[in-house]
Amino acid sequence: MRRFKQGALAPAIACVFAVIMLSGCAISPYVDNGLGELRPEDKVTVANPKPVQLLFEFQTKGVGNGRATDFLKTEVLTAVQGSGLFLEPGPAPVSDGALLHIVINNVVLTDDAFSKGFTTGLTLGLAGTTVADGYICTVDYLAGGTKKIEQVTRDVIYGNIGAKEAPPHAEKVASLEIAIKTVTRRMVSHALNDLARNPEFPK
Amino acid sequence: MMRSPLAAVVCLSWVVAGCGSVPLPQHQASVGAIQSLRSSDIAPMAVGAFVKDTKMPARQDKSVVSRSVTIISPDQDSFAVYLGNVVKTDLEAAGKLDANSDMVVQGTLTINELSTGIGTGTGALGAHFILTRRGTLVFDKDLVARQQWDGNFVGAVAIPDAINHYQSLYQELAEKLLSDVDFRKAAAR
Repeated sequence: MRRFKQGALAPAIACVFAVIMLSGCAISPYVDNGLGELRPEDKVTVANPKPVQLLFEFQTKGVGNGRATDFLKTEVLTAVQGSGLFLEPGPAPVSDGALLHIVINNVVLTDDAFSKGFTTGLTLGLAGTTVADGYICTVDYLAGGTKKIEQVTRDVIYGNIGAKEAPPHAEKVASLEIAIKTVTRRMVSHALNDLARNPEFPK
Repeated sequence: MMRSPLAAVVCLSWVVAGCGSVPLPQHQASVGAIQSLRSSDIAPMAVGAFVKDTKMPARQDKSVVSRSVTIISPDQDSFAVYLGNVVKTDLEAAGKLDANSDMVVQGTLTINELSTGIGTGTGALGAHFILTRRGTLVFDKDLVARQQWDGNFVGAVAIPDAINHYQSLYQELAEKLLSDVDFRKAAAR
């Protein structure tokens, strides 16, 4: 599996990370628990799932991020397959032109991440810092290649550096890799489930 | 992320020093290109040779530099070949690729530039595209994609930003070709 590089996504966290690394401070990632995992009892089921062409793109501040797209595309495919809403989702076009386009855009929520990281680094972690990266997942479904249904979900990853208490309403995860895979799985699963609730979604 | 002190050192060298070479990620089909192609009357076509311009230095086709990171092509060590594969990926995802078609699109890479300044980043990608039908030239045009973005002092942010913008130039240029009015007329069924 391709190793995920800090800085390939999570710009606020990467910025702080870069300026405090030499101080030896550790970064602790947290995932916001507002969205949570999709519960099995909440899952929408469809009687006749249809084939779909699946396109996924990860963006950083609205610009395509190929490295992160490569890193997360298996996670996204697994979430789409696990939804049970589509038959054999994949990159090839399907006969009726149905297309599922999933975009996850990573936006910086913390202003002035550079100076925060600089302060933390100078104080060897005593002045702790928490920065946040936001993720917006937009799922577009084009039934028959034309009619568009859209669903949006959001999540947040926090990076806690130095002597700072854990951010509220968030759960600690072991690594940034696990954090981004967790928010991806949650956002895509919820967005697809909400999409399936739309009366225009073919059931 | 830091599984061991060694990993931290490796990561530090990549992020802060930003040294080494990085292959550009493979292109993912663009939904914009797919929708544009599907709404057109373009016939399926083959993708022929994509090469660098003879006036372009060989190193410019092989790599571009973002601060101390060298970005290389994952396709035959050539960004011209990479551009051809971008066009091919978009055509295939739209159901408009036919390797046996008598209509063939080809390209010559003419501009390949990237600059990662502290204040501003810039990139430009240009190509001369031709389309032949049964060996007859039916389309012949130079197209260029340019981008400018806010730079960043921190390499850990600036370098990934530059790579993202540089890669998006390929998508932009391919979409310019596939949505070009003259190209569409020439490639119509």
